[in-house]
Amino acid sequence: MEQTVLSSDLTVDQLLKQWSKVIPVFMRLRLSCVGCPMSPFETLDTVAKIYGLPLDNLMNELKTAIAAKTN
Amino acid sequence: MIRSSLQSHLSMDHSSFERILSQSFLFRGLNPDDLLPIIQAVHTRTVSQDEFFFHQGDAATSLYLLIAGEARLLQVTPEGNQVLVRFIAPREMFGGIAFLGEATYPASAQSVSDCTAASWDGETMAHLMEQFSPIAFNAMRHMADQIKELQDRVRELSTERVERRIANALLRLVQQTGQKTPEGVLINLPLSHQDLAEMTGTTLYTVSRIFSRWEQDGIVQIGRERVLIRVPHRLVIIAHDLPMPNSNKREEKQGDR
Repeated sequence: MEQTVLSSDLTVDQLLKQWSKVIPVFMRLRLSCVGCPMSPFETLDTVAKIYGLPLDNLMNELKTAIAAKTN
Repeated sequence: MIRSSLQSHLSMDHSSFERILSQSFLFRGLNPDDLLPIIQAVHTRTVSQDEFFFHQGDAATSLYLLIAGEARLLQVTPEGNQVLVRFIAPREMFGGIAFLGEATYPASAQSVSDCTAASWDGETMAHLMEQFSPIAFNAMRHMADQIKELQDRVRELSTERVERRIANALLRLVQQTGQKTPEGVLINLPLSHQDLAEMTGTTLYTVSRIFSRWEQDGIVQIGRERVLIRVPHRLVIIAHDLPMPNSNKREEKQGDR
C-alpha cells in the first residue's frame, strides 16, 4: 500500500484506510466520520473545525493511537 | 423496435479496451491475458442523449459497461408513473441480468448525455463467467451493493421524512460520482429536480422547496445540471439525523436506528 504521512491535510478516508486502528479515537470523541459517505472529501483539519476540537489535540490523539502497539 | 444507436464490433482499438476493462470493477482480479477473450467478444455501442440502450420488458440479450457519458435506469409503473432507479456513471455495469438468459430487462436504460458503452452478448458473458470466476464474483458483489442500496431506499421511503430522503439520495450520488473542489463536493451530473423527486418518491415542488431552503442556509448551491455541496457535514447531519456539533441539544434517539 502507498505510504501516507499523518497530516491534517489527509482526508478521513485516507487516514482510516492507512490506519484503521485510529477508529476508536473517532468513537471516543463522538465523531461520526467512520463510515461517512463524505469521508473521502473531508480533511482532518475540517473535521476539527466542524466539531470545534483543537486541531493539535486531535492530531496528538491520532499520533498516539498510530504509535501504539497493535493487538 | 427502432434503434437510433449504432452497434459496431471493436470500433475502439485493442489497447484502449484493455486499459478501460482492466480499470473496471467487473474484471478486477483477472490476469491481463484473460482479458483477451473478453475483448474479442466485446461490442461497442454509442447512444446519443435521451435515447435508450434498452427498454423495460425487452428481452435481456446484452450486458453493458458504460465507458463514457452518464445514463439512468428508469422504471414505469402500470399507472404510468416514472421512477428513477439509479444513475449510471462511467465504468459501471448495467443490464447485468442478461447473463441469466431468458430474462427481460426490469428497467429502461436511457442516456443522460451522449454515451459509449462496451457490451457483451448475455450468453457469451455467461460462458466467460464460467471460465473466469472473478467476473461472476465481481458481478455478484455489484448486485449485493445494489440490493443494499435499494434496501436503504425502501427503509427511507417507509420511515423517513422527505428532507432526509433527498439528503440521502445526494449522499449516494456523492459516493458514486462526487468530486472534491475548492468550493465543496460537486455532483457533476445532469440532475434535475424532477430526477431527484423520482428517486425519492416525492414531488418536484417539494424538492424545489427543500433545495431553496438549503441554498438559503448555504448548505448547497444548485446550478444548471450540477449540485455543489458547500457544507458536506450539514448534509450528513440531515441525512443521518445526527445532532448538530457544538449544540447543547442532547441526542435523543429511540432504541433502534
